[in-house]
Amino acid sequence: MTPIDDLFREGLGDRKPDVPQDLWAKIAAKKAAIPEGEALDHLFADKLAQRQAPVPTDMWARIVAARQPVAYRSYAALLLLFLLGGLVYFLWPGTQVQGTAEAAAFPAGPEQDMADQGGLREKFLTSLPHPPDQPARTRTAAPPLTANSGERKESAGVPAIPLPTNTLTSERPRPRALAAIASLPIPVPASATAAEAPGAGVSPSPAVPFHPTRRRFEAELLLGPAYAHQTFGTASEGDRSLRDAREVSEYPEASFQLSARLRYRLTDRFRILTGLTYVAIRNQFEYETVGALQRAVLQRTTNRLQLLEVPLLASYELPGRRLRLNVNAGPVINLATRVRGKYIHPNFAQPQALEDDSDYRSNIGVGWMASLTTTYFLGNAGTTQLLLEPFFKHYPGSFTRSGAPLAEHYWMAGLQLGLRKQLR
Amino acid sequence: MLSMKEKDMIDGSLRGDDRCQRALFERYAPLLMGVCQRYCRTQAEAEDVLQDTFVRLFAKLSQYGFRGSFAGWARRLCVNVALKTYQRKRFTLEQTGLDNVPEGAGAPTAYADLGELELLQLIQALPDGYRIVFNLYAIEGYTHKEIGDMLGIQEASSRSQLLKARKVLQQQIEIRQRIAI
Repeated sequence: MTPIDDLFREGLGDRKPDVPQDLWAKIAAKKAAIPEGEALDHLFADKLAQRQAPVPTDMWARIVAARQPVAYRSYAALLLLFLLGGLVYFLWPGTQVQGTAEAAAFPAGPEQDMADQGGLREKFLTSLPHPPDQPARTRTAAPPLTANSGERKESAGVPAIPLPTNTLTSERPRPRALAAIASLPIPVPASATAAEAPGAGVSPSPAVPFHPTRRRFEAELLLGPAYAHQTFGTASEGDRSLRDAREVSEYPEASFQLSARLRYRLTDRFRILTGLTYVAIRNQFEYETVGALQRAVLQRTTNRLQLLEVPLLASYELPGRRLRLNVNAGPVINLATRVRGKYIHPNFAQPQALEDDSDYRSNIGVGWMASLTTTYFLGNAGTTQLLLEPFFKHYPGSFTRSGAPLAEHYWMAGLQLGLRKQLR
Repeated sequence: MLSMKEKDMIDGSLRGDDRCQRALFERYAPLLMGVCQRYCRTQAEAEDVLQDTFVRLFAKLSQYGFRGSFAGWARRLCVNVALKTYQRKRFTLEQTGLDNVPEGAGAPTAYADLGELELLQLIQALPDGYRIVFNLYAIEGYTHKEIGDMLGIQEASSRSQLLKARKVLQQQIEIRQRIAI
């Protein structure tokens, strides 16, 4: 032993340094086994079951804002008013095509003949001599004619003159009474404008009248957005997890369709419609991947289902002047289907490609379509119309083959805007 | 047994009294926020679920009918809203389960010292499926059959998810403890 050894032994040999206060707790915690099973559950339940957490200060304001009622009733009332107004406009007897040049150009039907008679009567009354104290512009307000009797009641000093009960065309022999009417001198008031003069028509409308033409073939082109609702059906219980996975990872996006159609007039009211429609059904596909620092990264892509269809629609037209309504309904035949995109399968860590499985049909399928086309004649030629068409389509059959684990169904609703042009 | 004040609040809320509705919110929002935080991964998601819960709570208040505890009824409603939100949200790749859990997240803490916040963080770090099943079974007290019906999964899947959740939680607690010592 050296003196230096003695110095340290005596100085530090019996030293009792301070022990950290939490050392025993740390050792005890290390020694204690981490609870398992129910004990682990209790550890969490005891501390978290009744836990109260601070609530953000603006939460009540958010709830109040979220509870504000949406004015659905107002929108519904407006829509109802609009529909009622439209129905009244189209179905009210006085708002028919009376007096239009269309009726004059095609005097084939009995209704148009009656309209012609009305026009003739009006023209006749307008041209009759009238008492000096009655202004020329009020002459059309004379008592109505009895169409069936063929006679006009004597009124306001105008002698009763028999009118023909049959239609008048240039090919048919003119009745004597009409010949007498035609031979009457037609006075033209000095104040009459050129438009009111005989031969210039009796319409009080502007100088350039509206002349919709009536050709049998019309072509139309429409384009518009749509909502396609996707549903899945499973053949077996084992595929339920696949259905669940797809239901929570695929959401509808804005779809659209483009239609080129040909319209053929069968009768005054009925048409048939056919053509080609391209439909693009789009769904957003969302899934999470684990990125850098183990953080979940949300990935978004778009799944596309493309269809080529032939619509075969029957159409009924509610007449009007410039504005008309067409109710269309019928089947749509799907000629081709193509799919691109991804989906989640519970058995795989990575998303799978929809097109790889060959689960989707590639051709024939049948759906149903109903639509309401509102048309508006553009210009005075009457050959071009602006179209606004809300539509609904339902595909009762699956878009996937019968052997596919999931049957994929859709219904679709949308709004198309387009143009219609008369051909010949 | 309802306290008179609570009954007044509910009656007033049913009549559309704003003050009663506000009082009901003030009283139960902290408890329901605690529930929301357990079911959601982030604070923003929890706030959204809490908001939806109260919107539905006031809309369906007439269905309560003073049968049983109001807190229990509100809590069940909150859990249902959270589950619906979870089901609406994206599907997470749970088959990679354990790989998704960040290791050693949070401050090093001995298991005996784990507080509410640490336990909450551990639950929030679980994959969605594990977190939901663990919450429903271990904390809410639902059976596997009930969980299966609620989530539309097999009873066996619920058991399996619970076991995996427990395993992940044990691992996480062990990691924190090792670092602490």
